[in-house]
Amino acid sequence: MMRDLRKNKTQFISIFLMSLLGMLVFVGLDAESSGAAAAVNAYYGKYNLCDIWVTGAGFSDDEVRMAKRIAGVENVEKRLALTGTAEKYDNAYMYINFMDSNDINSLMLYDGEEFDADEEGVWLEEWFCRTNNIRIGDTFTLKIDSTTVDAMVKGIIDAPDYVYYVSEADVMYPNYTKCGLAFLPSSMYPDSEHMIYNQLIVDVDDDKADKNNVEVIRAAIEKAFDRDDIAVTDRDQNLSFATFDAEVRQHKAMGIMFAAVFVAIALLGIVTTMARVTASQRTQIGTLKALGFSKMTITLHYVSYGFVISLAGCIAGAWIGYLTMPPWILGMFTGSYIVPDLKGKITALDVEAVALSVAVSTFVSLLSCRKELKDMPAITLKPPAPKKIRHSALEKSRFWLLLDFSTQWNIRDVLRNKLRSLMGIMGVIGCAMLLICGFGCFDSINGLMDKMYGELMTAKNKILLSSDADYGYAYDLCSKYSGQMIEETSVEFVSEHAKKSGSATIVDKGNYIHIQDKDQKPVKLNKSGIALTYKMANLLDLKEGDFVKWHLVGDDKWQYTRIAQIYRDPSIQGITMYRSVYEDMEYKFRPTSILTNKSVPADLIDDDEVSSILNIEDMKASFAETMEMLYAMVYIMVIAAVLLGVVVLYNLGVLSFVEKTREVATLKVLGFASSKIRNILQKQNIWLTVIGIGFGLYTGWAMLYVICTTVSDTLDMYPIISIPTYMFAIVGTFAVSVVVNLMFSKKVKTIDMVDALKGVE
Amino acid sequence: MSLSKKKKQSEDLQIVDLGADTDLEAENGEKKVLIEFENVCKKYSQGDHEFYALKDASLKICEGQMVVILGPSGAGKSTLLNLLGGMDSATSGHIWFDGEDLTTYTDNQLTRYRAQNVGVVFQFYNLIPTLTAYENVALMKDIKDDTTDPRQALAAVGLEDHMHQFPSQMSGGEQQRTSIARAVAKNPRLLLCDEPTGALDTVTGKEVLMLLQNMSREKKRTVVMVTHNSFFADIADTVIRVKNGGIESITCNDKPKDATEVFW
Repeated sequence: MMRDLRKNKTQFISIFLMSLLGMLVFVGLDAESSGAAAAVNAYYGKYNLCDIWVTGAGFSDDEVRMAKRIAGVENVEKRLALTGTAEKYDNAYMYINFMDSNDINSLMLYDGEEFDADEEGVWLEEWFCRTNNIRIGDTFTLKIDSTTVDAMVKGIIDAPDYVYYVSEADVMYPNYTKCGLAFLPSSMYPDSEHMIYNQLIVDVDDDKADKNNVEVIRAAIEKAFDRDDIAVTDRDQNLSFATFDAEVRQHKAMGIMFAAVFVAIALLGIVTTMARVTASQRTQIGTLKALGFSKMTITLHYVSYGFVISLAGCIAGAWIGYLTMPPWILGMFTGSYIVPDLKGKITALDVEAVALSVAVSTFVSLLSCRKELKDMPAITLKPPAPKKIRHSALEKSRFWLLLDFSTQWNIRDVLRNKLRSLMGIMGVIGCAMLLICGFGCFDSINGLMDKMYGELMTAKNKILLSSDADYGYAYDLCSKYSGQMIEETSVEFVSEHAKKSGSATIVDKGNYIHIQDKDQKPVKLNKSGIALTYKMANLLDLKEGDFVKWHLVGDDKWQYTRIAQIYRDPSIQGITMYRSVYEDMEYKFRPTSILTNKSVPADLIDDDEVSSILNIEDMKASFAETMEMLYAMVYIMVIAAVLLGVVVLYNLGVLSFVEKTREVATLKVLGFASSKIRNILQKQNIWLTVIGIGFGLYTGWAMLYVICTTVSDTLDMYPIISIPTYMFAIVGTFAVSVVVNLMFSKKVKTIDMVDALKGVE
Repeated sequence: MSLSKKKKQSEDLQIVDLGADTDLEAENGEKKVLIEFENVCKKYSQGDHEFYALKDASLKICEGQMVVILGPSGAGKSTLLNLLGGMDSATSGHIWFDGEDLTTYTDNQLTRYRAQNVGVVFQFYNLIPTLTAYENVALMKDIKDDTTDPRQALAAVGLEDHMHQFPSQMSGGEQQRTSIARAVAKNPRLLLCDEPTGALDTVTGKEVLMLLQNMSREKKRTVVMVTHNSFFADIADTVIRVKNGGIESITCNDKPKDATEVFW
């Protein structure tokens, strides 16, 4: 057996590698996503994440009692959720919660003392404290609207309901250094006499916490309150919960997709290799049978190849995948999500996947060698009956006669070895597809940036104002630089189907903000109504003319507004409207930034009213940083593409080469030069590559489309594949294919002609 | 470089001698020598163990002759054939083909030699299974300019009705005849046959044998056939007997039998 393995080492190695790669990616991503899910669930469980949120303008104690009485509700707590800033720390954006108890969404303590509603102090988020160098005992000043709250830092914590959060609307990627969490006892509220709680968090009995029950209870709460100005939402509608959940799911799906491709190719490899091995040992099998070995024994012998190789490959892959992928990917989670104890976890699914993969491989090798085994020994001992061959329709045409020998030979060879050819084409498709998709991601991101900072926002500079800036200051600055004032703020949307976070952009006079309709054609913003982004409209299942329910984050007043226009924005999902429309809704226009084409002196930052000055390159660069995860996926894809191409094509090449040894030797004896024979072999390879690339380009585009449309709730990417990407994918795939082919076609030279003269073994 | 050139010159000299020799023979009514082996050795070594497949073999083959190389298996006849066909290289000695020393040839020169001068008929036909009989013969057009039309070549071996069949659709005899058609289509000066009837029954074997004999008698081709079947000695002009890697004897038949008269 070892001898056979050595003789066919390239094929077995490639099967081994394919099994390994498939399991590596699958187990890697599954262990990573399962580990992430397990860690977050443990976190949610231990710190009692609420099941239902009720948000509204204000809740009375009666209403809290009423909610508690609803069947299935275990506990209800009330909170005042606000936003503010921490001036001392670069005007960091703060989510502030005032509460009088903390049994639900309990804080996880890192340092200091547990939250106590009777104490005075503030409990702050761990990352924020670490990166801003805040310690227990420091005095921390919060600014809420115009008032300030000073409190001593009592504890450094994390909260299960804030696994993921973002500050201002235009920052899509979390920055926990500039956005913090603060929890305070209700007694610390500046105007505690008139304190109104604007959020109820509801914990459902643990034994009733399945999805259907929660939905029943959610509906019951909605009915009991019977108020128009509240929103009752569950975990799936919660930004923090849903974002993390979606991330984990996406990784799992990715793992299955990659694994399916690799395992399918490993199976194809097993089919072709096993069929070849058993065919070449036909006489040996016949002899063994004639000697009286039972069919069972011989079958076991050959099937054990498939079993041993795929088992070794799968286990090695699973092990490597488990060791490498979770730390790498979960490492990238840090900074995006705040979940303690993130680590990879092997699940039953991984074991099942390994078992299934090995079982299928074994079964396939059983099928492949059964052909030789089922006949009587006398028949097996004879050389195999030649393959049946028919003239294809093409050959009957006049056209056929015009083809030269090598073309005719290659066409027949392809038709006679459909499985092998198919495997080659699949390998090329996979390679081209992954390359197109991978580099298409880069193109799409670049296209998205060009659109954001060039078509939709055309100013060269953006001056971000701090909360110190009053309207007068903003107006003067705007006049000085002939700029345009805009306000960007966060909004929550609710429809019958979903609750989503988004942003609102309010624009004043000027010409730096542009919008495009859903076909990406420039349109004018509606002067008298609000415009909702295409993606948000889809998420909320709304269309033009429908009414959308929304409120500004930090403002309890719910709006119910008709959608006057649908527009498309690649990176910011929410609403855009003119200042006049905004003011008609009785909001005060508070500019958050000024857009201008004039150059802005750097020392303007010294003004207290200015928080930062960004030029267009800075904005692009910081946006690119947020795409880190996507870039990582691209790297995986490109590496996988090349590996896939090399392994599949090499296996295919060796396989077809071994089968053709005799023919090649004959051609050599007849006087064909080695280089000529190589050209003939290369020709077939080039055809298959061209066909594969053709399909690969299409499937690559389809894959990119899926990735673009599902990548996240906030991104509305348009799939873009540039000409260089096409060129690169085509040339790259070709290069892989041709180089691999050259590697083994070099062997044409080494084939011993004398072999051709010998009889069939 | 200069050394090899000198060597070549001296070889040229020898050729002149040889040429004179053969001319003389031709005048005497003898045929022109096409091939000459001069103390040819072929040594195989496996680790420490080495053995001679061919030792100090010297022989001459004249143009237009039908030569049978006879010997039991392992005697070195296949080695002889491989060396004749330029498919293998000699360890020492010289092989002259029409005045040129094959042992000095590079791989590319050997390839050209095979393409231009040698036709091979294999024991197991070695047709390209994915090509029809016609295409198998037409193949030769790719490597040589003055080839016979495949149609004619196949007609000459009596296969005009099977031209568009694949090897797998033909009988062994038909396949071997295709193989012969392929070998002769390129009008080789030397037709090598390795046990051409080895895989055939007596009747079809005889047909093949007749064909080969005709090639020599009518088309004046040099045919060299390797076999272990001593009955074939009767049809040859020259019989070379090989034993234990050496030439045992070279005999000439003044009156070779017709292939039809041979029985085995």
